[in-house]
Amino acid sequence: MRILAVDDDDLLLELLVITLSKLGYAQVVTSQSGPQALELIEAIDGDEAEDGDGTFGCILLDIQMPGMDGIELCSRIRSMPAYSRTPIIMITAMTDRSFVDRAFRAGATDYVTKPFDMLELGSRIRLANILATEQRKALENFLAVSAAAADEKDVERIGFDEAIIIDGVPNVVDCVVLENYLIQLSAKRAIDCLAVGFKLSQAEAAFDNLPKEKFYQLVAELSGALAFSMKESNAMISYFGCGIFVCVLGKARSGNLALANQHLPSAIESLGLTIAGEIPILRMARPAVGTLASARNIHSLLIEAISSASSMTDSGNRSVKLPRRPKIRALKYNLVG
Amino acid sequence: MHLEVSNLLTSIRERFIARLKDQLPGFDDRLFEIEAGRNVRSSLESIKSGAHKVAGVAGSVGFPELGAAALRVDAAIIDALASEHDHKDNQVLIKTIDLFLNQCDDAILSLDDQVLI
Repeated sequence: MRILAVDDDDLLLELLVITLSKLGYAQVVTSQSGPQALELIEAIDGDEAEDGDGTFGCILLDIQMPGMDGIELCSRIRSMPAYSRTPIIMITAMTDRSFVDRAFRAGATDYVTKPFDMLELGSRIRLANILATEQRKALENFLAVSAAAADEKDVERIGFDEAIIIDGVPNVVDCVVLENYLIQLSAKRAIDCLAVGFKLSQAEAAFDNLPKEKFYQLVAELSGALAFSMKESNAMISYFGCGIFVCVLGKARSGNLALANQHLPSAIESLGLTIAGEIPILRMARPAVGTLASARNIHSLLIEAISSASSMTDSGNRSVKLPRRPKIRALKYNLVG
Repeated sequence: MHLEVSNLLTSIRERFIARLKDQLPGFDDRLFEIEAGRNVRSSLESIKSGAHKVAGVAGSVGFPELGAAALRVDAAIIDALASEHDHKDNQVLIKTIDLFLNQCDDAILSLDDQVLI
């Protein structure tokens, strides 16, 4: 796998190259600025790199750089179709909440603080790549289901109870990235958060009856409506499967929640979507409140929000299957807890 | 292979200290400016930029205390630049920078000691 590392400090880049080579990553391209990194990415053509697609398999970015900082660079790279799912790991000395927040909202997959530990860096890169590969495969399979309906034996069916990755909607992230984000926020000091589940009524009927790409579109558009309604709350949102969305926001912003819930129906109505001739309804569950001080209670908070939303389900007999990521959780428990 | 990596890391460590030696007089001058109340903002930005680079590398080349002190300076200056700090705030900031410069001295001396030994 070819890795792009961007940092304005030449010594740090040398350290990264040595560390990555010890981890078995020999193809590391370095850049000392955002514009130069973009030029490198844009200059690559399809016949140059591995796997025939010409892209970097992982990108490591410093945050504080003169001119274009790492967060803007992350956002610019993310907007490129070839890099919409590539792991982007921020490697930075900045642990302040505003930096963590901006980095994840710009599309970062994970966040490693300097001075970096070799084993931790290796684990994060490896796990980010597993995640990206699974996401790509899941999305391709999901969208392929309808197209290949005539020969479904060849297509791995995506279950109703599985998370869906939504690209290009501000503040809507993959559920693993949401967990990474919360872990980084809580790494420096404990924070008080609310996790609120929203359940889509008739979700299972929509999943069963709509073409899969239409169901994906429904989930993506509902995520957008949710994000729009929650914008005053600065919430991060993920879709966890079974028609359940989870929004995480700071406890201090909990006052905005009722208002967001009021605005949500009109935001959904404006999309012009229907399920069996009716406008979709997203029902808010009882918020889960917690102080995030370790990966374990972050996971518990999310589970509580999902369970609370799940208990409102109209079909009543399906539970959400949380994405498979035991190795990530085990690592984070050691690091944070 | 291990020897090669070890040599590379030693080289980075030595160049890190050499860079620190080059930076230190500039840090001292800038601190003097801040203490005198002259060019405070530009001096803070200059120290912040240098401290940020020190924070990124120091811990990985065997100077964790220096890295932590640099990070404290970086964060304190970000806060100071974001707010209209007064003279009293500057005193706290000056002390934080001074502790960082002491750590720079210690790191430089520790490598010099190794060379002498």
